[in-house]
Amino acid sequence: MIELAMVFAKDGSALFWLGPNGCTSGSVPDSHVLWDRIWRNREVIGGVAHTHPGDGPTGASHTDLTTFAAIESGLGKRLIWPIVSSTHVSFFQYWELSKSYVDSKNVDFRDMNHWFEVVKTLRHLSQIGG
Amino acid sequence: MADGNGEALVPVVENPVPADMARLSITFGGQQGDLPELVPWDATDENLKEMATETVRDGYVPGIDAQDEPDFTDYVVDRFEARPDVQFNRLALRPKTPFGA
Repeated sequence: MIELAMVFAKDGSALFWLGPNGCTSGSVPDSHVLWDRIWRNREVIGGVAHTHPGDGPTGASHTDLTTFAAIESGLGKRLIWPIVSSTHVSFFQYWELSKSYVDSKNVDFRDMNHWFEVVKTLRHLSQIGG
Repeated sequence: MADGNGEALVPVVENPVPADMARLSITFGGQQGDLPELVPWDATDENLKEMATETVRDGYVPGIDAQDEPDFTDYVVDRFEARPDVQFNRLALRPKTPFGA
């Protein structure tokens, strides 16, 4: 299984995929193409999802957390940062109270029907790539 | 237009950006702009981040509102050499995007 990244819109629909070139089982590389797609879609972007290898709930790495903050700084807006393992999805968001990114259990995805298909596809592609 | 010999005159346009200089584009806070002055093409990433911090803080970058404490720590510099369709060096300071370990 390799790591992949996907930019999605506020309604959960996929806007852009990054991978598998340059991606490994442990990382998605820095990419000006990914930033370009994020910037071009800044009015409609909901967040960026990426995969982590393995099963179970997963935490965000230091690289993940600093990337979340950098991209939000560049866009001037907060996003949702799902991390997808083979069995779980963690939805990281910045919480002002704790001044940190936490796995949010309170994200309302009822209107994000596309999102669940996207997670399935993300898992499938990460398996193929690996 | 033609000269006295009937040869077409082709205006000579000087490249406004010397080969050892570059335009620096900065993206921050949902805004994007170019530094008015040229910067050295071989400036280090750290030097460029320092320039960006000072100029964005002072509201000196057209298109970017002045910010109290702009932080470019987790930004990276893309370097695009001059090419036929863009005949000057360009530098772009943007957020980093890697994920994973």
